[in-house]
Amino acid sequence: MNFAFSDDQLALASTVRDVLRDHCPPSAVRTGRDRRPAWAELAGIGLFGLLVPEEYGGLGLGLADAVLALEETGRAALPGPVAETVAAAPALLAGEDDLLTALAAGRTAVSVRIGDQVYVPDADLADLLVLTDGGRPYAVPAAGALLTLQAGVDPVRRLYAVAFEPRAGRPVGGDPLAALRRVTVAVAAQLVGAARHLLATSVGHAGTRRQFGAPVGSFQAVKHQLADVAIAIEFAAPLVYRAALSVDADLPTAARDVSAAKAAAGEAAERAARTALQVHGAIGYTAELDLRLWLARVWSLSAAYGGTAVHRSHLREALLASPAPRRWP
Amino acid sequence: MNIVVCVKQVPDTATERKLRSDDKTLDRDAADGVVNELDEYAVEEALRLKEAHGGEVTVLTMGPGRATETIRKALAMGADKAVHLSDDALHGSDALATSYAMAQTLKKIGFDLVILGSESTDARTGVLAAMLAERLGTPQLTLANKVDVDGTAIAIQRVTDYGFDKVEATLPAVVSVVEKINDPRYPSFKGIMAAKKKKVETLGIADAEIAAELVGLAGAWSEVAEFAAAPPRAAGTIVKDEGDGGTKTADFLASKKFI
Repeated sequence: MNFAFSDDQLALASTVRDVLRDHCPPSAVRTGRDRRPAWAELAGIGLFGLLVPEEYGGLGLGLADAVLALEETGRAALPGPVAETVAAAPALLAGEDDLLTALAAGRTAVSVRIGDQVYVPDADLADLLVLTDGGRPYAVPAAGALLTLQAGVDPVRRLYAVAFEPRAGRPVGGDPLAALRRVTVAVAAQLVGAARHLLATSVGHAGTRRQFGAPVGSFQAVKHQLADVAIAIEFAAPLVYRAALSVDADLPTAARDVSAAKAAAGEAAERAARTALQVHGAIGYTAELDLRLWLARVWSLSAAYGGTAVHRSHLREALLASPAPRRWP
Repeated sequence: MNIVVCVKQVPDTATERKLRSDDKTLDRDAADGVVNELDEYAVEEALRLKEAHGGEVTVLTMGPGRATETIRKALAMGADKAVHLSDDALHGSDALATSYAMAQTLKKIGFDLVILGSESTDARTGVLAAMLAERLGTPQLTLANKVDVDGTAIAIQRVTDYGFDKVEATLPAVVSVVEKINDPRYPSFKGIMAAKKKKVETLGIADAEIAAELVGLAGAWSEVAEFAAAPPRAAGTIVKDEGDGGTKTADFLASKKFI
């Protein structure tokens, strides 16, 4: 069995990367959030229809085909509810012909509140919200919901409390659990992408910033930290790819694999963020340096759809078939 | 309209490009291969002409086996089929030999319009369009930043130092385009998936009736005698301003014949 990505999957990712390089530079992440940079171009190439069945104008592909493209959206820190629109919406809107058609055509940005989520990410940038209420998903036009901005760590990925009139919501027939698993893997892929960007940026800085007559990257204390980040990323990425395959095939291990992916990707990205901040020194703290946009994104995404601790405890339950011991009375 | 777009795989301009020490040709393994940037504009223009006037777009590339990556990209953008001229005997061909090989292939596959980028980022000779037109006996419309086709009439705007010339001809013709002509599309996901189902015909020199003695290193009219790495950039001179900074600046500019 060949686990390498196919030429098509690599080409999808490199196209997304080209689009984001041209249309989502750091300046667009910093100041262009509200106009959803690169979304029109990504809709044009068909990113938002990737997981939508072909009869609705989508490509009918699986998460494994999308995972590298999603990684690129994390690498670029693309603003907007990307993971939700690409990965969660097709599962939640299953059977809703009109909504799926609009989604595949790239006309609808979707954000969601499923699972244990309390807030809706980037609800103000979405056209349609899919909210679970009592375990049932409802589709609510964003214009018909009351959005209240919450204080959050990421100035770009904003969290909203959402209230809606029950009669303004349309019950939809999709599967919230399938959507939750997909969006969790999508976010894990974005974390891997963000971590790769942080590592590349830190290595670049360590190679040019000089102290004691040498680039700081020549010192072991710096080198080793960056090497640890590289190792963490290389260990996390295959777990994310594996989880995508497990979800596509609906394997019995899907829940376990999703948790392993999210925990590993979150830990790798948090390590990348912490190390990037350390390696950049005092300048890393400044609002003017683009680094902070990626740091904030990592902190925001690693808490989304279950933080590392939650997924580690799910993983423990799946492996040992026993609930985690209580560590406090 | 039968449009043929000539595309070339070149080493990524973002990486260091090298010549091989043995035969002094381009070291294609030293860098990633990408589509020559100007050729992407040529592909886009061909697709737009096809969308406006109907017909078919064929991609033609000459290069080693890995040039299929370049073909795939052009097919993903929307070209209909491809011809890959690939033969070890072609290795080391100069511009004259390349134009001969390409012209032979074009004669074989047929065309109403040949479009190519005005130059490649690796060799940068910029002469292929003119040579092709001469060998094919067709009009050459080079350095176009606008192309209009009406029946068998074709008109372009040729970019010049002072603005542009209007050049008109009748098909068949050879057109080379500059980067101002359009905004190349991104390959869509549907296009990427459809690309592998499209027909790619691989031809050797015998298939295209190319005489082996006229191509390759041996058949080249030009030869790289020797080459050296570009010298590292010298450190600049820092002049301390002691009230005479203006004079020193003027002296420097005068020494370089700027003033």
